[in-house]
Amino acid sequence: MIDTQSDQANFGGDPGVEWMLAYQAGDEDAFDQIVEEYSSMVWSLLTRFLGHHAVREDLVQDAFLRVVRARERYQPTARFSTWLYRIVYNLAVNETQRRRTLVSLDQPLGVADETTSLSDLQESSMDGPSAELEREDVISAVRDAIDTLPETQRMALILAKYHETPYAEIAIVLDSSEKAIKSLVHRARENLREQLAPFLQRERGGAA
Amino acid sequence: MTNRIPEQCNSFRELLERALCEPAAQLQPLAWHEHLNACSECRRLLEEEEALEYLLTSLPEPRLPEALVERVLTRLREEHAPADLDTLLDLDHLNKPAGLTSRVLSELDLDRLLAQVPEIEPPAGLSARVLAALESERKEKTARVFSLGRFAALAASLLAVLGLWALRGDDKIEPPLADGPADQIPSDEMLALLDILGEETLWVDDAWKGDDMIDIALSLDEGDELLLEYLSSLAEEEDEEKNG
Repeated sequence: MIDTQSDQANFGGDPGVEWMLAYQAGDEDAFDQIVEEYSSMVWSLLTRFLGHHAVREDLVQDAFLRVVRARERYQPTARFSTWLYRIVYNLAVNETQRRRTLVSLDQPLGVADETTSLSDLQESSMDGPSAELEREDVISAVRDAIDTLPETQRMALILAKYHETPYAEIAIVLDSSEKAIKSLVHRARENLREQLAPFLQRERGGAA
Repeated sequence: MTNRIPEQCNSFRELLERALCEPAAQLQPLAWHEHLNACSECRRLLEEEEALEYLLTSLPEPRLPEALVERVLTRLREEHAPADLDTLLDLDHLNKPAGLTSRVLSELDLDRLLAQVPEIEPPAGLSARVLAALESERKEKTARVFSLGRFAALAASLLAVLGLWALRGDDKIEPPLADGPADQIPSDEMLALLDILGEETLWVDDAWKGDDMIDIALSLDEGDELLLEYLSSLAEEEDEEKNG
């Protein structure tokens, strides 16, 4: 009880926590606000972690379905976004493992990767044929390099780089320590540098 | 001099890593200008990290599809609105993503689904009709058991009587427990018969005395023809002896 009061005091300024507590107290509109505010974040995280797959919309729904189910037992022990990241991470890992099984049974890995790249192209803007092709090439390579990272490295890197999440919060999401997260991100960047070496060389050459 | 460079390298790399990890922390390359000019390894590292940052930021920001929020909210409301099982099953006929219905069904609380199933009331008087039907069945079986029992008792009596016919004694037979309830007292003839049986070697046993004797007597059918015939023959013999 004392811990809960302390937690509420710590995260009282977090709008997500306030909406969730209001929803817990019976305010149904508060849940709509949560979905409207955090859908974009959930979508972005899923897209960066899984690539452009149709299942993302179902996973967004599943994430908020878990929020609904946690209504009774929710306790504000972290920022709301951290709590939601953890839900999304679990869903994304489950989906990755499910897809891995399907791919190994149904098709070679390259087919799924190709689909991802084509979807990426559809979202990119038009900057002219040559520049666009080069850009598509770079995007595809970066996407593939991120996709090949182990799940924890991938999530740690995405949260740190694209969601500007502090290591302490990433540690909560991945149920790990801050030190371990620092190491994960470091290794993730090392892996990316190795895989993207030709592109890095080109960038360095261009910069020089 | 050679010792100072690795120290500076460590300091620079720690600061670089912090700048990459924490948005608030910023690397000031100008402050490290002298070291970077002198250390090709740190310069290469900085250039690689800058290039990697550039590549990572080149990925387009995922755009939330239009009306996704509305769709998600609508579907979540559907899942949590009170609905009967038929309505949930009918979702298959709508243009929903494949497998949505099965997922919805599996994810809904089982208790809520079970609560929607109406209580099944048995037809009025069903239990009475079932008991009545069973009663006649039970009577038939009981009758069969009793007739078998009667046959067995009769056969045992006859065998015993035939075997002991010649050994019959002339002792006066007194009915035991004469003061007991009237409807529990066997007839004198029956008790006399059982006394005879009890006196012979085949039946000699203390267990056959007293209350057990009464139970056996009560279990015998006094209306049985063979038994009546035997009892009347006993009476005739007694009369002949008295007369003779």
